[in-house]
Amino acid sequence: MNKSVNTLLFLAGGGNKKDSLKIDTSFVKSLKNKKIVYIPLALEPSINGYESCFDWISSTISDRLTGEFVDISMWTDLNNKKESDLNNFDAIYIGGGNTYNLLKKIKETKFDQILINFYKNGGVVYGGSAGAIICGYNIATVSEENKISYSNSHGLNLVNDYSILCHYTKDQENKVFKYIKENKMPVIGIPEKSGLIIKNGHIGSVVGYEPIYIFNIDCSVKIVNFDENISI
Amino acid sequence: MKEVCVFFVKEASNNNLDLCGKKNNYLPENKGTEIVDLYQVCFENFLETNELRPSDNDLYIKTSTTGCNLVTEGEQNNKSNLETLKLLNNPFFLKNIFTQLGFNSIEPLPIVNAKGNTLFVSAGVQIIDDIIHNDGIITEKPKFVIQPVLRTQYIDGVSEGSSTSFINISTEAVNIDPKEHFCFLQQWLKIFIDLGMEKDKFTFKSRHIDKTWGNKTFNGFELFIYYDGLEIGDGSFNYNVAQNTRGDINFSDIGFGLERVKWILSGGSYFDTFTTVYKNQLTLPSLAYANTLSLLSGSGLKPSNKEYGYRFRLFSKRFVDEVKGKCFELDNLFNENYKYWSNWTKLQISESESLSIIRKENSRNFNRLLLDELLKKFNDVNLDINLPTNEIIKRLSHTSVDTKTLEETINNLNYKK
Repeated sequence: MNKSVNTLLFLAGGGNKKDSLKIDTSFVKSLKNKKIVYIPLALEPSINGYESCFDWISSTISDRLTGEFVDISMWTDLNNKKESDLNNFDAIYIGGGNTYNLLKKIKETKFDQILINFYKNGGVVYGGSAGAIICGYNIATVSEENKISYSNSHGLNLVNDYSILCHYTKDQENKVFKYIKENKMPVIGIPEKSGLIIKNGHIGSVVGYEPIYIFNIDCSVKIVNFDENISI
Repeated sequence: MKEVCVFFVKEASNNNLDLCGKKNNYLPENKGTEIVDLYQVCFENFLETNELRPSDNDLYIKTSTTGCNLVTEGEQNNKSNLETLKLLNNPFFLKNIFTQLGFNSIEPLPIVNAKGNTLFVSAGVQIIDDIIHNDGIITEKPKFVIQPVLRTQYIDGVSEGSSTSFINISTEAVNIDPKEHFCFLQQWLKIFIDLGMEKDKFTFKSRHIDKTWGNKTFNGFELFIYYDGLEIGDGSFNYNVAQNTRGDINFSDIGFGLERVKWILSGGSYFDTFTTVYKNQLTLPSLAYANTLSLLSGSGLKPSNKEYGYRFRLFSKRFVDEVKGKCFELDNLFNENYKYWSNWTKLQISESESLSIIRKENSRNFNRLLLDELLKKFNDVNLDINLPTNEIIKRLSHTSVDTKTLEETINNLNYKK
């Protein structure tokens, strides 16, 4: 990563609008020009296409604002997208849904490298649920979602080789240990009412209403409370 | 065209009660496998009747297809097509045809969708929203609607053939036999062919998928309909739609973009189908955004930072980003767009009121554009963007912005004082 560039990554646990209030507010405050791209591709289009997704994102983002306006673009087709298409945007917001479907669409269109370059060049990235999980090292933390037999589970690896598990609850501990045993890689468990903001690739701040869980490769667990920082 | 109407009158009189000469033999048990089998048989009959054969990836083409690409530039098509266009611009033309075929022609929903599960109406199928989501009363007659729709998802993809709002002409029917679904589809095809479209240029693509609509998930067959390679509509047959107080239902939804059909018949630009003023002077996105703004404003919507009003503000901002200071000189465009929509739906406010609201919001967004530009060099220009633009410019003379820079910036943004 270019050391002179400041990077900012938001990972939300996947809860509802109320749960993600704090991380969403921090995200909106970070937007210099108030212009974002929203990618809803973890969801399949409904009978109305992606219209309800646009309703959701505009409501989620605008509820975090007082007197300001965020210009939202929604990209539902990543084919032929170029890095320069992102020139005028502050951030990419990757929404939740099926993690494997999302990663497949991003990789097959070669948007993964565009996204990584955008981030490394100072663009803000927000991932909610599936959107957060693909930012990790490997998405096999949610292998049960692989209904499409997608063989490439390598994520974007924006979190220093950590994999991410959203909607984390205590009863998923054994599932995480199993993943660590098989992959020999650490995991961050983020509950729905929590989120993690990572600055410059390694300074993590927990925001929300619950702690997050850092699982190391020796299966030790570090609990980081909200409003605390951690070095990733 | 008179003959077209006569043909359909005959068709309707022969099939007065059952639309297609077949009694409704829909299975109340609604077993998925039976529906699938029946659909397949009907689909095969449809292919055979229309002399279609599969090519690759479920694409069905005419056995004698001799396709050529649509002409998007140059002169408009021949005189008879122009006559047809006149008919299509008359809302009663299609309404009469479908009424005579036994459909219940219903009024479109207001674009602002107060009761549904999206903020705005984005498809004709939403006229049966109450049946699908609230166990609303199922009427025997199939419905026909000419529905203005908003598609914000296309805001960054405006191009020839694709806009952010358009007219969706559709037929909707609940609890019918797949045979009737294909019969409706056949009737649509007959209408298009009688309007002058060439049978050999139609192709179809099918798929079977799991679908969602609000909190409902169900199964469905989709048949995408192309004319000369351009998608003009689709026909879907959906089943296993769970209900709260009754057994599962199915529904047929066949819809087309009216402007696309008119575009095919007219040639030229897709945007000529709703805008004639400022032709070739404005970008395609600006024409799309202006048309959408007129629909939203005419529907009584007010701009704001949240919910429904957010969409108004977004389209105005995008419009001003495209045309910049010219936004103050385009009243005729908005007036023409207002008239276009009022031909198809009952708008809530007058043309002059609608224009006034659009002008005010465009002015606000132009002020933002101007101040953002000046903020790059001066830090004391945080003025209230809700002020009139001439007042903003007046107040800027009391900031650190020098007269030369201000004049240059205003000129670069095409603003005429």
